[in-house]
Amino acid sequence: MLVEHRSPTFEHLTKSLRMRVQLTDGLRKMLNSERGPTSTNPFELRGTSRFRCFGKCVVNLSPESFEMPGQDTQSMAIIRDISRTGIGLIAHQQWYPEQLAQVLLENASMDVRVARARRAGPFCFEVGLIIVKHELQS
Amino acid sequence: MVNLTLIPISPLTLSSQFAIGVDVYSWQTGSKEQILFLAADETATDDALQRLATSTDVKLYISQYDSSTFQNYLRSHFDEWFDNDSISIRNKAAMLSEVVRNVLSDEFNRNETNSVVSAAKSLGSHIAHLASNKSLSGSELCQILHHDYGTFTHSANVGFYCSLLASQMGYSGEKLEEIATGGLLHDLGKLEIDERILNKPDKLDEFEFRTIKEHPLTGFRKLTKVKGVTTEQLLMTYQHHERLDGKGYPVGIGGSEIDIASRICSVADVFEAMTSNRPYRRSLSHKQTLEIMNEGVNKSFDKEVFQCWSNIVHRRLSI
Repeated sequence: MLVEHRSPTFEHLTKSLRMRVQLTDGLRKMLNSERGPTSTNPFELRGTSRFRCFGKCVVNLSPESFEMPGQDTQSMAIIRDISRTGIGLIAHQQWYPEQLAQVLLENASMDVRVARARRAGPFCFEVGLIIVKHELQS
Repeated sequence: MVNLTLIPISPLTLSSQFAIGVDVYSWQTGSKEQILFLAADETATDDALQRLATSTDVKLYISQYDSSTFQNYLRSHFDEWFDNDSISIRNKAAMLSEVVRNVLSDEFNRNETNSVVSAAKSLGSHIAHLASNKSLSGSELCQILHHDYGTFTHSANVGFYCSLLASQMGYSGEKLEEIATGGLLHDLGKLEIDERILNKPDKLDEFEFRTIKEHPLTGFRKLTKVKGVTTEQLLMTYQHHERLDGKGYPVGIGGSEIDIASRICSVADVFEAMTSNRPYRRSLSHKQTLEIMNEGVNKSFDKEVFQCWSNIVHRRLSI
Protein backbone atom coordinates (compact mmCIF):
# COMPACT_ATOMS: atom_id res chain seq x y z
CA MET A 1 0.00 0.00 0.00
CA LEU A 2 1.34 3.43 -0.95
CA VAL A 3 1.33 5.77 2.02
CA GLU A 4 0.67 9.43 1.21
CA HIS A 5 3.62 11.43 2.48
CA ARG A 6 4.75 14.87 1.42
CA SER A 7 8.40 15.69 1.78
CA PRO A 8 8.87 18.95 3.78
CA THR A 9 11.59 20.00 1.36
CA PHE A 10 9.21 19.58 -1.56
CA GLU A 11 6.48 21.53 0.25
CA HIS A 12 8.87 24.34 1.09
CA LEU A 13 10.24 24.57 -2.46
CA THR A 14 6.85 24.55 -4.14
CA LYS A 15 5.78 27.43 -1.92
CA SER A 16 8.90 29.49 -2.51
CA LEU A 17 9.33 28.87 -6.27
CA ARG A 18 7.02 30.31 -8.88
CA MET A 19 5.49 28.09 -11.54
CA ARG A 20 6.60 29.86 -14.74
CA VAL A 21 5.31 27.33 -17.27
CA GLN A 22 2.77 28.79 -19.71
CA LEU A 23 0.77 25.82 -20.94
CA THR A 24 -0.44 25.87 -24.53
CA ASP A 25 -4.15 25.17 -25.06
CA GLY A 26 -3.35 21.78 -26.56
CA LEU A 27 -1.22 20.70 -23.63
CA ARG A 28 -3.72 22.03 -21.09
CA LYS A 29 -6.49 20.02 -22.74
CA MET A 30 -4.34 16.92 -22.88
CA LEU A 31 -3.32 17.17 -19.23
CA ASN A 32 -6.92 17.71 -18.13
CA SER A 33 -8.39 14.86 -20.12
CA GLU A 34 -5.87 12.06 -20.49
CA ARG A 35 -4.73 9.61 -17.79
CA GLY A 36 -3.15 6.17 -17.83
CA PRO A 37 -1.15 4.39 -20.55
CA THR A 38 -0.41 6.44 -23.66
CA SER A 39 -0.10 5.37 -27.26
CA THR A 40 3.33 5.47 -28.82
CA ASN A 41 4.72 6.25 -32.24
CA PRO A 42 6.47 3.32 -34.02
CA PHE A 43 9.40 5.62 -34.84
CA GLU A 44 10.04 6.26 -31.15
CA LEU A 45 11.18 2.66 -30.60
CA ARG A 46 10.05 2.70 -26.96
CA GLY A 47 10.61 -0.36 -24.79
CA THR A 48 8.35 0.66 -21.92
CA SER A 49 4.85 2.12 -21.66
CA ARG A 50 4.33 5.67 -20.54
CA PHE A 51 1.54 6.66 -18.18
CA ARG A 52 -0.05 10.06 -18.52
CA CYS A 53 -0.21 11.88 -15.19
CA PHE A 54 -0.45 15.48 -14.02
CA GLY A 55 1.44 16.97 -11.09
CA LYS A 56 4.16 19.38 -10.21
CA CYS A 57 7.78 18.81 -9.43
CA VAL A 58 10.98 20.71 -8.70
CA VAL A 59 13.97 20.34 -11.03
CA ASN A 60 17.49 21.09 -9.81
CA LEU A 61 20.39 21.18 -12.23
CA SER A 62 23.03 18.82 -10.88
CA PRO A 63 26.29 20.48 -9.78
CA GLU A 64 28.19 17.90 -11.89
CA SER A 65 26.32 18.91 -15.02
CA PHE A 66 27.33 21.49 -17.60
CA GLU A 67 25.41 24.75 -17.44
CA MET A 68 23.97 26.64 -20.39
CA PRO A 69 23.50 30.42 -20.52
CA GLY A 70 20.27 31.88 -19.18
CA GLN A 71 19.16 28.70 -17.43
CA ASP A 72 17.61 28.70 -13.96
CA THR A 73 19.39 26.04 -11.94
CA GLN A 74 16.26 25.42 -9.84
CA SER A 75 12.71 25.66 -11.14
CA MET A 76 9.25 24.17 -10.98
CA ALA A 77 7.86 22.03 -13.77
CA ILE A 78 4.77 19.97 -14.60
CA ILE A 79 4.88 16.19 -14.85
CA ARG A 80 3.13 14.95 -17.98
CA ASP A 81 3.98 11.26 -18.08
CA ILE A 82 6.16 8.68 -16.44
CA SER A 83 7.46 5.23 -17.31
CA ARG A 84 9.74 2.65 -15.69
CA THR A 85 12.78 4.29 -17.30
CA GLY A 86 11.88 7.91 -17.91
CA ILE A 87 9.79 10.92 -17.05
CA GLY A 88 8.28 13.60 -19.27
CA LEU A 89 8.04 17.15 -17.97
CA ILE A 90 6.76 20.49 -19.17
CA ALA A 91 9.22 23.20 -18.21
CA HIS A 92 9.32 26.95 -18.70
CA GLN A 93 12.85 26.79 -20.06
CA GLN A 94 14.91 24.71 -22.40
CA TRP A 95 16.91 21.80 -21.01
CA TYR A 96 19.80 20.42 -23.05
CA PRO A 97 20.62 16.80 -23.90
CA GLU A 98 23.01 15.10 -21.45
CA GLN A 99 22.41 17.66 -18.71
CA LEU A 100 22.06 15.99 -15.32
CA ALA A 101 19.37 17.03 -12.87
CA GLN A 102 17.49 15.98 -9.78
CA VAL A 103 13.71 15.87 -9.94
CA LEU A 104 11.83 16.17 -6.63
CA LEU A 105 8.29 14.81 -6.54
CA GLU A 106 5.89 14.88 -3.60
CA ASN A 107 7.18 11.63 -2.20
CA ALA A 108 10.16 10.68 -4.29
CA SER A 109 13.29 12.05 -5.84
CA MET A 110 15.14 10.91 -8.92
CA ASP A 111 18.44 11.61 -10.64
CA VAL A 112 17.80 12.14 -14.33
CA ARG A 113 19.61 12.79 -17.59
CA VAL A 114 18.02 14.97 -20.25
CA ALA A 115 17.29 13.04 -23.45
CA ARG A 116 15.61 15.73 -25.54
CA ALA A 117 13.52 18.90 -25.43
CA ARG A 118 10.92 20.38 -27.73
CA ARG A 119 9.47 23.87 -27.61
CA ALA A 120 5.66 23.82 -27.50
CA GLY A 121 5.16 27.56 -26.99
CA PRO A 122 6.48 30.57 -25.10
CA PHE A 123 7.81 29.44 -21.71
CA CYS A 124 6.65 25.94 -22.54
CA PHE A 125 9.11 23.13 -23.34
CA GLU A 126 8.35 19.42 -23.39
CA VAL A 127 11.36 17.68 -21.89
CA GLY A 128 12.13 13.96 -21.94
CA LEU A 129 14.33 12.71 -19.11
CA ILE A 130 15.95 9.33 -18.50
CA ILE A 131 15.80 8.14 -14.89
CA VAL A 132 19.29 7.28 -13.70
CA LYS A 133 18.39 6.60 -10.04
CA HIS A 134 15.24 7.02 -7.99
CA GLU A 135 14.44 7.00 -4.31
CA LEU A 136 11.15 6.97 -2.41
CA GLN A 137 11.01 9.39 0.52
CA SER A 138 10.22 7.64 3.79
CA MET B 1 45.32 8.48 -72.73
CA VAL B 2 45.70 8.68 -68.96
CA ASN B 3 43.35 6.19 -67.32
CA LEU B 4 43.44 6.89 -63.57
CA THR B 5 40.97 7.84 -60.87
CA LEU B 6 41.77 11.51 -60.54
CA ILE B 7 40.99 13.99 -57.83
CA PRO B 8 41.07 17.77 -58.32
CA ILE B 9 43.67 19.96 -56.62
CA SER B 10 43.96 23.70 -56.48
CA PRO B 11 46.69 25.19 -58.74
CA LEU B 12 47.46 27.51 -55.84
CA THR B 13 48.93 24.62 -53.87
CA LEU B 14 51.84 24.30 -56.30
CA SER B 15 55.12 26.03 -55.57
CA SER B 16 58.05 27.01 -57.72
CA GLN B 17 60.35 26.15 -54.84
CA PHE B 18 59.43 22.53 -54.09
CA ALA B 19 58.68 19.45 -56.18
CA ILE B 20 55.23 18.23 -55.24
CA GLY B 21 56.27 14.56 -55.28
CA VAL B 22 53.36 13.30 -57.38
CA ASP B 23 52.44 13.53 -61.05
CA VAL B 24 50.03 16.40 -61.78
CA TYR B 25 47.65 16.23 -64.74
CA SER B 26 45.88 19.12 -66.40
CA TRP B 27 42.59 19.23 -68.22
CA GLN B 28 41.45 22.13 -70.36
CA THR B 29 37.82 22.97 -71.00
CA GLY B 30 36.76 21.32 -74.25
CA SER B 31 39.56 18.73 -74.37
CA LYS B 32 38.79 15.03 -74.17
CA GLU B 33 41.58 13.90 -71.91
CA GLN B 34 43.97 14.93 -69.19
CA ILE B 35 47.65 15.36 -69.99
CA LEU B 36 50.71 15.20 -67.75
CA PHE B 37 51.36 18.76 -66.60
CA LEU B 38 54.12 18.28 -64.06
CA ALA B 39 56.12 15.13 -63.25
CA ALA B 40 56.60 14.17 -59.63
CA ASP B 41 60.19 15.37 -59.38
CA GLU B 42 59.73 18.62 -61.32
CA THR B 43 59.00 22.08 -59.95
CA ALA B 44 56.61 24.41 -61.72
CA THR B 45 58.01 27.59 -63.26
CA ASP B 46 56.77 30.96 -61.99
CA ASP B 47 55.37 31.70 -65.46
CA ALA B 48 53.32 28.49 -65.52
CA LEU B 49 51.99 29.19 -62.01
CA GLN B 50 51.08 32.71 -63.01
CA ARG B 51 49.14 31.46 -66.06
CA LEU B 52 47.34 28.86 -63.97
CA ALA B 53 46.36 31.39 -61.35
CA THR B 54 44.64 33.58 -63.90
CA SER B 55 43.11 30.83 -66.06
CA THR B 56 39.63 29.50 -65.43
CA ASP B 57 39.84 26.92 -68.25
CA VAL B 58 42.52 24.68 -66.83
CA LYS B 59 41.91 22.26 -63.96
CA LEU B 60 44.60 20.24 -62.23
CA TYR B 61 44.32 16.68 -60.97
CA ILE B 62 46.38 14.06 -59.21
CA SER B 63 45.85 10.35 -59.03
CA GLN B 64 43.73 9.26 -56.09
CA TYR B 65 46.53 6.80 -55.20
CA ASP B 66 48.89 9.76 -54.71
CA SER B 67 46.59 11.68 -52.40
CA SER B 68 48.45 10.77 -49.19
CA THR B 69 51.81 11.83 -50.74
CA PHE B 70 50.20 15.11 -51.82
CA GLN B 71 48.86 15.66 -48.30
CA ASN B 72 52.28 14.94 -46.80
CA TYR B 73 53.71 17.58 -49.16
CA LEU B 74 51.08 20.11 -48.03
CA ARG B 75 51.35 19.33 -44.33
CA SER B 76 55.17 19.30 -44.29
CA HIS B 77 55.36 22.75 -45.87
CA PHE B 78 52.20 24.23 -44.44
CA ASP B 79 53.53 26.01 -41.33
CA GLU B 80 56.44 27.40 -43.31
CA TRP B 81 54.10 28.73 -46.03
CA PHE B 82 51.58 30.04 -43.56
CA ASP B 83 54.20 32.22 -41.86
CA ASN B 84 55.80 33.31 -45.13
CA ASP B 85 54.71 36.88 -45.92
CA SER B 86 55.80 36.60 -49.56
CA ILE B 87 53.09 33.98 -50.22
CA SER B 88 49.77 35.55 -51.09
CA ILE B 89 46.75 35.17 -48.83
CA ARG B 90 44.95 33.49 -51.75
CA ASN B 91 47.63 30.77 -51.99
CA LYS B 92 47.58 30.29 -48.23
CA ALA B 93 43.81 29.91 -48.28
CA ALA B 94 44.05 27.30 -51.05
CA MET B 95 46.64 25.30 -49.15
CA LEU B 96 44.68 25.57 -45.93
CA SER B 97 41.52 24.46 -47.69
CA GLU B 98 43.28 21.32 -48.97
CA VAL B 99 44.77 20.58 -45.56
CA VAL B 100 41.48 21.16 -43.73
CA ARG B 101 39.57 18.87 -46.09
CA ASN B 102 42.13 16.15 -45.77
CA VAL B 103 42.57 16.34 -41.99
CA LEU B 104 38.80 16.38 -41.51
CA SER B 105 38.41 13.47 -43.90
CA ASP B 106 40.98 11.43 -41.90
CA GLU B 107 39.52 12.44 -38.55
CA PHE B 108 35.91 11.87 -39.59
CA ASN B 109 36.84 8.40 -40.84
CA ARG B 110 38.48 7.58 -37.52
CA ASN B 111 35.41 9.03 -35.75
CA GLU B 112 37.06 9.62 -32.37
CA THR B 113 35.40 12.74 -31.05
CA ASN B 114 38.33 13.93 -28.90
CA SER B 115 40.68 13.69 -31.81
CA VAL B 116 38.23 15.39 -34.20
CA VAL B 117 37.78 18.29 -31.77
CA SER B 118 41.50 18.69 -31.22
CA ALA B 119 42.16 18.77 -34.99
CA ALA B 120 39.24 21.16 -35.57
CA LYS B 121 40.61 23.57 -32.95
CA SER B 122 43.98 23.73 -34.59
CA LEU B 123 42.46 24.17 -38.07
CA GLY B 124 39.90 26.67 -36.74
CA SER B 125 42.70 28.83 -35.43
CA HIS B 126 44.39 28.94 -38.87
CA ILE B 127 41.08 29.62 -40.64
CA ALA B 128 40.27 32.48 -38.26
CA HIS B 129 43.73 33.94 -38.84
CA LEU B 130 43.10 33.95 -42.60
CA ALA B 131 39.56 35.28 -42.31
CA SER B 132 40.66 38.18 -40.14
CA ASN B 133 43.03 39.27 -42.90
CA LYS B 134 40.90 41.82 -44.71
CA SER B 135 42.72 41.29 -47.99
CA LEU B 136 40.97 37.92 -48.43
CA SER B 137 37.66 38.59 -50.12
CA GLY B 138 34.59 36.40 -50.15
CA SER B 139 35.02 36.18 -53.90
CA GLU B 140 38.42 34.61 -53.65
CA LEU B 141 37.38 32.20 -50.94
CA CYS B 142 34.36 30.95 -52.90
CA GLN B 143 36.58 30.29 -55.91
CA ILE B 144 39.27 28.52 -53.94
CA LEU B 145 37.13 26.05 -51.99
CA HIS B 146 36.13 22.67 -53.39
CA HIS B 147 32.44 22.10 -53.94
CA ASP B 148 32.12 18.35 -54.21
CA TYR B 149 29.85 16.48 -51.85
CA GLY B 150 31.33 14.95 -48.75
CA THR B 151 30.58 15.67 -45.09
CA PHE B 152 34.21 16.68 -44.60
CA THR B 153 34.25 19.05 -47.61
CA HIS B 154 30.98 20.58 -46.47
CA SER B 155 32.25 20.99 -42.89
CA ALA B 156 35.53 22.50 -44.08
CA ASN B 157 33.71 25.03 -46.27
CA VAL B 158 31.22 25.92 -43.54
CA GLY B 159 34.18 26.51 -41.21
CA PHE B 160 35.66 28.98 -43.73
CA TYR B 161 32.31 30.69 -44.44
CA CYS B 162 31.41 31.02 -40.74
CA SER B 163 34.80 32.51 -40.07
CA LEU B 164 34.58 35.02 -42.91
CA LEU B 165 31.04 35.99 -41.97
CA ALA B 166 31.86 36.36 -38.29
CA SER B 167 34.93 38.41 -39.14
CA GLN B 168 32.81 40.78 -41.25
CA MET B 169 30.36 41.04 -38.36
CA GLY B 170 33.15 42.27 -36.12
CA TYR B 171 34.29 39.13 -34.34
CA SER B 172 38.00 38.69 -33.85
CA GLY B 173 40.62 36.81 -31.85
CA GLU B 174 39.50 33.86 -29.74
CA LYS B 175 35.84 34.37 -30.51
CA LEU B 176 36.52 34.12 -34.23
CA GLU B 177 38.57 30.95 -33.70
CA GLU B 178 35.71 29.52 -31.65
CA ILE B 179 33.23 30.16 -34.45
CA ALA B 180 35.57 28.78 -37.14
CA THR B 181 36.04 25.61 -35.09
CA GLY B 182 32.30 25.41 -34.43
CA GLY B 183 31.70 25.56 -38.20
CA LEU B 184 34.08 22.65 -38.73
CA LEU B 185 32.29 20.62 -36.06
CA HIS B 186 28.67 21.54 -36.76
CA ASP B 187 27.78 18.32 -38.63
CA LEU B 188 29.64 15.92 -36.34
CA GLY B 189 26.37 14.04 -35.74
CA LYS B 190 26.22 13.06 -39.43
CA LEU B 191 29.11 10.68 -38.87
CA GLU B 192 26.64 8.36 -37.15
CA ILE B 193 24.26 8.31 -40.13
CA ASP B 194 24.45 5.53 -42.69
CA GLU B 195 26.03 6.86 -45.90
CA ARG B 196 23.28 5.16 -47.91
CA ILE B 197 20.86 7.62 -46.30
CA LEU B 198 23.18 10.64 -46.56
CA ASN B 199 23.92 9.98 -50.23
CA LYS B 200 20.51 8.72 -51.28
CA PRO B 201 19.66 10.32 -54.63
CA ASP B 202 15.89 9.76 -54.21
CA LYS B 203 13.40 11.31 -51.84
CA LEU B 204 13.91 10.26 -48.22
CA ASP B 205 11.16 8.23 -46.54
CA GLU B 206 9.88 9.23 -43.12
CA PHE B 207 12.29 7.00 -41.18
CA GLU B 208 15.29 8.29 -43.17
CA PHE B 209 14.22 11.88 -42.74
CA ARG B 210 13.86 11.37 -38.99
CA THR B 211 17.32 9.80 -38.92
CA ILE B 212 18.83 12.82 -40.70
CA LYS B 213 17.04 15.18 -38.32
CA GLU B 214 18.73 13.48 -35.36
CA HIS B 215 22.21 14.75 -36.34
CA PRO B 216 22.20 18.04 -34.38
CA LEU B 217 21.21 16.12 -31.24
CA THR B 218 23.79 13.36 -31.85
CA GLY B 219 26.57 15.86 -32.51
CA PHE B 220 25.68 17.89 -29.41
CA ARG B 221 25.68 14.74 -27.26
CA LYS B 222 29.11 13.75 -28.52
CA LEU B 223 30.56 17.22 -27.95
CA THR B 224 29.23 17.52 -24.37
CA LYS B 225 31.59 14.67 -23.47
CA VAL B 226 34.69 16.51 -24.71
CA LYS B 227 36.51 18.95 -22.46
CA GLY B 228 37.23 22.40 -23.85
CA VAL B 229 34.30 22.63 -26.26
CA THR B 230 32.76 26.07 -25.76
CA THR B 231 29.07 26.93 -25.32
CA GLU B 232 29.00 28.58 -28.78
CA GLN B 233 30.42 25.46 -30.42
CA LEU B 234 27.86 23.27 -28.64
CA LEU B 235 25.06 25.55 -29.73
CA MET B 236 26.27 25.79 -33.33
CA THR B 237 26.06 22.01 -33.50
CA TYR B 238 22.69 21.84 -31.77
CA GLN B 239 20.92 24.83 -33.27
CA HIS B 240 22.12 25.17 -36.87
CA HIS B 241 18.81 23.76 -38.20
CA GLU B 242 16.62 25.95 -35.99
CA ARG B 243 14.67 28.63 -37.82
CA LEU B 244 13.85 32.15 -36.81
CA ASP B 245 10.09 31.40 -37.08
CA GLY B 246 10.39 28.42 -34.72
CA LYS B 247 9.73 25.81 -37.43
CA GLY B 248 13.20 24.27 -37.33
CA TYR B 249 14.57 21.31 -35.41
CA PRO B 250 15.49 19.70 -33.03
CA VAL B 251 13.82 21.99 -30.46
CA GLY B 252 11.76 24.46 -32.47
CA ILE B 253 13.09 27.57 -30.74
CA GLY B 254 12.98 30.86 -32.63
CA GLY B 255 14.14 34.48 -32.71
CA SER B 256 16.63 35.50 -30.10
CA GLU B 257 16.43 32.08 -28.46
CA ILE B 258 18.82 30.97 -31.20
CA ASP B 259 22.41 31.87 -30.36
CA ILE B 260 24.08 34.34 -32.73
CA ALA B 261 26.88 31.89 -33.58
CA SER B 262 24.19 29.37 -34.59
CA ARG B 263 22.49 31.96 -36.79
CA ILE B 264 25.82 32.57 -38.52
CA CYS B 265 26.31 28.83 -38.94
CA SER B 266 22.80 28.40 -40.33
CA VAL B 267 23.39 30.91 -43.15
CA ALA B 268 26.84 29.44 -43.96
CA ASP B 269 25.47 25.89 -43.85
CA VAL B 270 22.57 26.49 -46.24
CA PHE B 271 24.67 28.56 -48.66
CA GLU B 272 27.34 25.87 -48.78
CA ALA B 273 24.82 23.06 -49.23
CA MET B 274 23.02 24.80 -52.09
CA THR B 275 26.17 25.82 -53.96
CA SER B 276 27.70 22.33 -53.83
CA ASN B 277 26.87 19.28 -55.90
CA ARG B 278 24.74 16.77 -54.03
CA PRO B 279 23.82 13.20 -54.99
CA TYR B 280 20.24 14.33 -55.53
CA ARG B 281 20.84 17.62 -57.41
CA ARG B 282 23.34 19.83 -59.15
CA SER B 283 24.78 22.88 -57.45
CA LEU B 284 23.08 26.24 -57.82
CA SER B 285 24.87 29.45 -58.73
CA HIS B 286 25.64 31.97 -56.00
CA LYS B 287 23.07 34.35 -57.46
CA GLN B 288 20.28 31.75 -57.52
CA THR B 289 21.20 30.60 -54.02
CA LEU B 290 21.09 34.11 -52.59
CA GLU B 291 17.73 34.76 -54.26
CA ILE B 292 16.23 31.61 -52.76
CA MET B 293 17.76 32.31 -49.35
CA ASN B 294 16.49 35.88 -49.47
CA GLU B 295 12.93 34.51 -49.40
CA GLY B 296 13.82 32.86 -46.08
CA VAL B 297 14.91 36.08 -44.36
CA ASN B 298 13.13 36.49 -41.02
CA LYS B 299 11.66 33.00 -41.47
CA SER B 300 14.72 30.80 -41.65
CA PHE B 301 17.52 33.28 -41.39
CA ASP B 302 18.49 36.31 -39.36
CA LYS B 303 18.17 39.36 -41.59
CA GLU B 304 21.36 41.06 -40.44
CA VAL B 305 23.46 37.91 -40.76
CA PHE B 306 22.04 37.11 -44.20
CA GLN B 307 22.60 40.65 -45.46
CA CYS B 308 26.18 40.58 -44.27
CA TRP B 309 26.74 37.29 -46.09
CA SER B 310 24.97 38.58 -49.18
CA ASN B 311 27.30 41.59 -49.21
CA ILE B 312 30.34 39.33 -48.98
CA VAL B 313 29.15 37.20 -51.91
CA HIS B 314 27.91 40.16 -53.98
CA ARG B 315 31.36 41.64 -53.80
CA ARG B 316 32.42 38.50 -55.62
CA LEU B 317 29.72 38.79 -58.24
CA SER B 318 30.63 42.36 -59.03
CA ILE B 319 34.26 41.49 -59.75
